[in-house]
Amino acid sequence: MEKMMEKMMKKTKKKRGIAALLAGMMAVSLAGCMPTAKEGAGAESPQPQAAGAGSDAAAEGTEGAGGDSATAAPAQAEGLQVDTETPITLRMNWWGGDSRHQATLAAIEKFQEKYPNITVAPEYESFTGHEEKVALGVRSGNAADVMQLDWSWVPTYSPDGDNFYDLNKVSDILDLEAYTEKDKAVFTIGGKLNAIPVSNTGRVFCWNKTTFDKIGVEIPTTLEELMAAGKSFEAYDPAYYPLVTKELDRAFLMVYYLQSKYGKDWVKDDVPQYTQEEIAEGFDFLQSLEEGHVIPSLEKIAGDGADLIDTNINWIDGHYAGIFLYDTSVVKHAQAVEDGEFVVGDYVKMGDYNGGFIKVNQAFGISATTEHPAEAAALIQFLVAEEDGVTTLGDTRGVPANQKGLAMLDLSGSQVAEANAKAIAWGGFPMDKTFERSSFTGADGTFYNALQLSSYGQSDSASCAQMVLDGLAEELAR
Amino acid sequence: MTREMRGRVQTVLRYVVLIVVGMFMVYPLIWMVGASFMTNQQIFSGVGFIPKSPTLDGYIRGFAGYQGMNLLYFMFNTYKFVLPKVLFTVVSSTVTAYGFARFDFPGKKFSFAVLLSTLFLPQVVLNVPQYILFDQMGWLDSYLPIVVPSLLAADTYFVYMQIQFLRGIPRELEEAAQIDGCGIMQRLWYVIVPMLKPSIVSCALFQFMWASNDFMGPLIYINTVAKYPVSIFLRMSMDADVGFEWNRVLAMSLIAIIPSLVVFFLAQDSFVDGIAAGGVKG
Repeated sequence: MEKMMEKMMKKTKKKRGIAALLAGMMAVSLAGCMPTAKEGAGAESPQPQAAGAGSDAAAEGTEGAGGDSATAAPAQAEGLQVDTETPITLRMNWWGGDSRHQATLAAIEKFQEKYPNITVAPEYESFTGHEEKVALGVRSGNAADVMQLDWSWVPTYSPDGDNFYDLNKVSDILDLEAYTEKDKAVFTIGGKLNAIPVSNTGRVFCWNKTTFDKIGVEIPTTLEELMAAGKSFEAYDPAYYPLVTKELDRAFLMVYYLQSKYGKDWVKDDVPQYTQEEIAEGFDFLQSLEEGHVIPSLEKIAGDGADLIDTNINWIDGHYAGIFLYDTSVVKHAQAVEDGEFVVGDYVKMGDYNGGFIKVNQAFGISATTEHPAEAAALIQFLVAEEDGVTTLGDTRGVPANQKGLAMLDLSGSQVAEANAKAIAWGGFPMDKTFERSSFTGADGTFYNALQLSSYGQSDSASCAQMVLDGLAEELAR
Repeated sequence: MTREMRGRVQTVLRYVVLIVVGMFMVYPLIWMVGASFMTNQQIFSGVGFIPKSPTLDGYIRGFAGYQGMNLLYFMFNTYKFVLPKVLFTVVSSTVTAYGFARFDFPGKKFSFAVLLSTLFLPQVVLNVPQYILFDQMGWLDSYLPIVVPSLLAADTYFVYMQIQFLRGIPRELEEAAQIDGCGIMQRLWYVIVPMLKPSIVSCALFQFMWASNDFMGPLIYINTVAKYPVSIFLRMSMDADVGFEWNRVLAMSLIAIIPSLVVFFLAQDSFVDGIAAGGVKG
C-alpha cells in the first residue's frame, strides 16, 4: 500500500515537473513573440532610445512651426523619375466605408488612365483589424506601397523614422509646398518626413435646431448661454438636454474648457501642463454641467442602452439636442436625427483662449521597402493635389489638408466641410499622442474611469484629477 | 384528475415552457430577418422585429458589391478554403488521435502534453510568429496559411476530441480485426472510422462553422480584395466614422449564414450523437 502511494507520488511529481516545464516554455515563447508584435521596431534599431528621441523631434518640430528650432535639414529630392513605360504594379491599402471605397476605386481608375503602365492593386476593408494588418506588414517588410495611416501609427510603428519612406526624397514629385509647416512637423521623425496628412480634424459643437426652436432657446455661443439653456430645457421637460457627452466626449470637453481658460497645451514636450488643482476644476466643471441639466449623467446615458450616441434613441428623436464631436462624424450623427434640423454651431466660448484639440485625421505614407517610390509618390500626388483625383475623392477622406487640393473642391453643400472650416479657423492646440490611447481614454482607461467615478459620485474631483495625472504619467513613460 | 388528464396537462405545460424559452433563444435570429428590411432609425428605436415600412434597400445595395464582385463571389471564396480545411482537419485529426490512443511510442506522454498545452494558447499570441513564418515561406496572399496547418493536425481541439471518443471504443474489436489479418491502416479504416462517425461529423461541423466565421486569419494573410472571404466582405461597408446602413449588413449576413444553417440541419442527428457520446464516455 505504502509502496503504491510512493509510486503515485512520484508519478504526480513527474507530471508536475512536466507541467512546470511546459508552462515555462510557453512563457518563454510568449516573451519571445511579444516584442515582435509592437516593440520590435524599437528593439531592432541601433539606439534603444530612438523611440523617445524620435517623438521628441516631432514635438520640437511642432513647436518649430513658428521659430526655427527644427532638427536636421530635410533630405533633398533625389530626382527620381516616374516610370511611364515599364509595367508596374503598385499596392495601395486603406480602410473605410462604402463611399470611400467607391470613390477611391474611381480615382485609381483615373490614375491608371494617366499612367497606363501602372496598375494599382487596391486593398481595402473596414477599420476592424486594419491596424494589426498594417503593423504586421510594416514590421515584416510586406506593407503596401501606399498606405492610408492613422496619425498615431506613424510614431508607433516608425519610432526612429525609418519604417516609412522619407517623403522629402520625392519632394519633386510629391508637392510638399501645399502643406503647412505645422502639418509636416507632425510626421517628421528624426528629420525624415514619414507621411503627409490627408485631412485635419477637430471637435465642434453641433445642435438639433428643431429641439432648440421647440423649447424656444437660442443656440448657445457662450458658457452662460449654455448653462441658461440647461435651465430652460429642464423647465420644459426634464427628459430634454441641450448637450450629450459620453466618457470620451467628456474628456475632450474638459480639456476644451481647461484650455479655453488657461490657454496652455495639455502636454508639451512629454510634460503634463495642468496641475492637479486645475484638472480638479475640470471635473468640477463637468459636475456643474450635470447639475445644471446641461448634460445627462453617465448613469442616464448608460440606461439608454445604446453603445453610441448616433444609435441612442434620445439622440434620434431629439431629446438630446447637442453634441461635441469630430467634424468627420458629422454626417453619421446628422443622418441619425429623425425629423430634426442638424446644424453646425459656433464654438461655445468658455474663456479667453481657443481651447480644444486639432489632430491629423489620417495620413498617406509610402512603405520603406517599396520598389517604386517615385510612382507611389505620383499616386499620392494625384489623389491629393490633381484635379481628377481630388474631385473624385471629394470629402470621403475628410476635408483636404493639401491647400491646392482644397482649392479644387466645391464643398459648399457639405456640413463636414462647414464643421471642418470652423475647427481649422478656431485653431486650438495640437493633440497629444497619448490622449486617444485606449489605455487612457478608452473604455476602462484611467481618464475614462476617473470620469465615471466622478459622474457616479464615487469619488471627489481632487482624487479623480490625481488619477488622471497618474495615468497620464504612465502613458508618457511608455 | 385522471392520470391521463394529468399527463396531458404536464405535456401542455412542458410545451409552453419550451416554446417561451425557445422564442427567447430564436428571437435574435428572427429580429435579424426583420431588421434587414428596416432603416437605421427603426432598428435603434425599438426591439420589435416587424418593419413598419419595409425596404429592400439593404438587399439591393448589398448585391452591388465592389469592382463587380458581390456577396456570392465572396461566399464562393470562403468555401474555396473552408472545404479543403474541413476535409484535412477530419483526416489529420483522426489519424493523429488514432496514434495517440492506440499506440505506445517513446515520448508519447511528452508529446501529448505539448499537444494539449497548445490547446490553451490563444490565437492572438500565434498571429505574429505565424505571419513571419508564412511570409518567409512566401505563402502570403494565398489560402495556404489557412489550409495547410489543418493538414498537420494543428487544430488541437479536434485531436483531443477524437482521442476522448476513441477511448470509449473497445480495443477488442481491433484485436479481432488484427487476428483476421488487418493491418494498421485497415483497422483504422474498417473498424475505427465507422464507429467514430458521430465524432467525425462534429469535427467537420465545428471546423466548417469556425473556418467560415474566421475573420482575423484571412484578414492578416490575404491582401487582394478578389480573394477576400465573406467574413471580411460583410464588414467592408462598416465605417465607424461616416456611418453605414445596418439593414445592408444584416441582409448580407443573413444570406451568408444560409450554407452554415443548411449544413447544420443536414448533419444535425449525427452531430448531436457525437456531442452526447463524446461527453458521456470522455
